[in-house]
Amino acid sequence: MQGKEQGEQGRKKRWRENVADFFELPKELLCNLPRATIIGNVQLHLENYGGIIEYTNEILRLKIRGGEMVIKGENLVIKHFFGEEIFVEGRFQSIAYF
Amino acid sequence: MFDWRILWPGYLLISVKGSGLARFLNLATRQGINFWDLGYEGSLAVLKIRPRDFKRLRPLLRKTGCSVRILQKKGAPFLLLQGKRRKGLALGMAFFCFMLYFFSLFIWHINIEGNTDVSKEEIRAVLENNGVKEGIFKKRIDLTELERALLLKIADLKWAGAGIKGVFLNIQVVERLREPPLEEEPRNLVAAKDGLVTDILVLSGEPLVEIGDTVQKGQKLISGQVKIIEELEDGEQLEEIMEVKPKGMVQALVWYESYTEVPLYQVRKKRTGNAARFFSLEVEDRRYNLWGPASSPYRNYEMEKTKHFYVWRDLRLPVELSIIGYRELEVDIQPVSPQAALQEAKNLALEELNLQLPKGATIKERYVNEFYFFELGRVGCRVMIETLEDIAV
Repeated sequence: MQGKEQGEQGRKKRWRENVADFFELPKELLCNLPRATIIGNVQLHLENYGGIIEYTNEILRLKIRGGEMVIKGENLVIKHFFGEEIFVEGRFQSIAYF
Repeated sequence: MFDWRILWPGYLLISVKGSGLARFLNLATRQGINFWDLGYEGSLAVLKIRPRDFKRLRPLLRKTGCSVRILQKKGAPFLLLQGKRRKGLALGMAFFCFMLYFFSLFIWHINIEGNTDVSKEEIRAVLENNGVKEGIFKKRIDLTELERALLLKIADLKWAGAGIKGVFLNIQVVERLREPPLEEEPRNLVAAKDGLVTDILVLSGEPLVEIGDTVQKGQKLISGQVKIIEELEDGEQLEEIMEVKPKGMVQALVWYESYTEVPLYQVRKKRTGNAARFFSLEVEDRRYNLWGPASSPYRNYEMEKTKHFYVWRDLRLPVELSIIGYRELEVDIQPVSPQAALQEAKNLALEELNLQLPKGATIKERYVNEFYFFELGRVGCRVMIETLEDIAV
């Protein structure tokens, strides 16, 4: 049951991606993907994220569609965050997706 | 970076303790509670929050097992709350605001624009007659009434506009353009130049001069008023004056004269290549010599003055740097033969005459007088031309 659902979702997703490709539309709108703007290793602006999973001085884990985004660094500070937007500052060492 | 929220509504600096920090933050965001500047101070998570959101945190804390503490209250609202205790300060602030408001209720200055012939005093007098002057209460000014009064009292104004901007009363006026008086069409033909009349041809009108008359510039030659004498049956004469447009030609001899003098020597100037420069600073009327000779070291020289101004945007420094350059000249004086000098003087005189001569004038005669002033070292030449032309205009 679950597998079938996932398959359907997968197909739907692929179809949306194709549409986005064909019309050259931004994928973050159609596929609900996060959109990140990273300035050097000091500032990150992420739109369309799902929530904070873990936050300490050195690590920030954010929920995004289909997984999570892990930012490691020093003195991580969340400058602002609203419903779907987050502004992070600090000295990043790595940004990874799982 | 300056945080404007410190002015309004202020903010609370709070610390959050507990393992469910991430969950607490997510829940709060979902409820529309805004945080900013979330960071760690040692092992303590610190964040900023609007004061009114603080109460909304309590149910979330219970749910997530976190605890919060207020570390600091910042912003104008908290200062104002403190001001409750300091009555004098609060009173002073209120008094200041009130005075600012109170004094902005009056007109402090009247600007008058657009007048050139009508004096400002005249406009001010009208304003004062209407009770408007500096210091008047703004509400008491009736702008439309003022505009109408200006237009009524001062005839030279075509339009007047009054407006209040802050503590200024702006009066704008447009003056009536005076129409130039209509020029009457000339009813007479007059002489354009002095001359001796040689021939008259009248097409319409009545001639006022005869052949052989000397006329002066502006003198009437042909009148546009024609006298008609009618003889009635009973032998009486009836005079009638009829206006016509005068037409005709008046030919006259006109003289043109020109006189030029030319020296009997020729001056040639040549630079020797010697030069000197003088630098000085000028502050308003004073001059401070820097270096170089203040007056020319040469007997014959040419001088060039340069002034440097220092301008930065709209500001001009009062100090000017003045540079005077001197160049030595060699002057060579060579005598010219009287015949050659005279020829040149004659040519110059003729050239000047040609500029005076109108087109289509027939030259009747040309007189040339030569003058030799050997003691003055000059020769002169007078050329006179007699032409025949139509001088009636």
